[in-house]
Amino acid sequence: MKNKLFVLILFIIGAAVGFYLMNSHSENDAKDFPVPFSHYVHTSVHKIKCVNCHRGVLTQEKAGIPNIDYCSMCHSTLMNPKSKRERIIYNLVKENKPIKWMVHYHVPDYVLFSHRRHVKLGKLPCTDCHVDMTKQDSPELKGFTQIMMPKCFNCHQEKDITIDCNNCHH
Amino acid sequence: MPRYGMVIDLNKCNNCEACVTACKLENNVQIVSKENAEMGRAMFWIKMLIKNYSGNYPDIRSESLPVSCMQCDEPSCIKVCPVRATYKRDDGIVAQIYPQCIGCRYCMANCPYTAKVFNWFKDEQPVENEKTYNPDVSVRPKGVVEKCTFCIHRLQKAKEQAKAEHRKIREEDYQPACAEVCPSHAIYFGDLDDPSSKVSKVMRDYRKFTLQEELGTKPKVYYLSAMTE
Repeated sequence: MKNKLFVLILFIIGAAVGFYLMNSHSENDAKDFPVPFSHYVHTSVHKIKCVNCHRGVLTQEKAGIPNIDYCSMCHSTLMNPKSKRERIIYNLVKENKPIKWMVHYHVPDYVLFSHRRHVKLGKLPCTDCHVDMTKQDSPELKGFTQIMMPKCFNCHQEKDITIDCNNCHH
Repeated sequence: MPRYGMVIDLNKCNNCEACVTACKLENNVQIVSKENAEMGRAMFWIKMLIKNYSGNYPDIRSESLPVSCMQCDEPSCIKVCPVRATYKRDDGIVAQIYPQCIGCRYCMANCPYTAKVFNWFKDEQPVENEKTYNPDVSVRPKGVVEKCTFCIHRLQKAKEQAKAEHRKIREEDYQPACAEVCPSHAIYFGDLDDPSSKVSKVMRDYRKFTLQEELGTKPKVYYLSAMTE
């Protein structure tokens, strides 16, 4: 009896903690990253659009990830770092040291995907393929979407766009 | 729908092989070692067949024939492919889908122009060469057949650009690497069905011929024979 009660309590605590972690934007979320970067802060709090940093989206195939020279355009105004996060960014900008970002989305070598074609010309929102980054810090926290060919096919057939193999595999 | 084709003026071709080099670099065609090349495993999407040199130095005249995939209207390669890895697009370009290819090489055996090449080895280039890869073209894995695609990635880019600028695709927007690089402008490329395009004007020349016409493959790469004295 005692054992069962213990397991039940443990389960309830576990569920509560899990629920809390899923819905929170605590600073710990980004601890595994080379830089404690939060998409949530940039997009929701400071209202920066995706294309402002991922500048390749409108002009080329790869969206691109900005590095310290681009970050420093905004962060160079940070003069007196107070929190731990601010200090890390301050030091990075000061040293002008490139950040080794983790790349979560890899397009396989045999597929040629163009962001420009989909976002600029096709006028698709980023959230059609990616997670809504205005609500979380890192793409892998929850709902990391793996993009497979049926997804491409469904959308192309719905919108009456060519499904010629050669357009993506060449 | 356009029908893309090529005309090579053999009168102008001076056997410099710039097209061969440009093609290799543009399409990430594997560079095989010397030993393997001697075994007949060298890879070219466009190759220069040298027939003969005539004259005395410095007045040498070469007779050569650049041969790429003929992009036939009646391709013999697509009829034998068991997995439909090779097929003819609406614009006449014969496409090869590498992830679908099983490497049976039936198409290679059936091609009368020997235009297709097989990846016998994994593409292992020196690390320094990695940055020279063209990101618009995939690096083919070992065990698939590949061939000239009329630089199809350039067509896509040109289409993309034309759409962004709200205009139709122009002739000069889309030129394959070989036509672009040719120093003597011997290679003409464009829409064969458009009577105002340069390529269709050149094609009306009486010197026009195609390779192995009697087979009925209807190649879209035309040659203008070299004039002899």
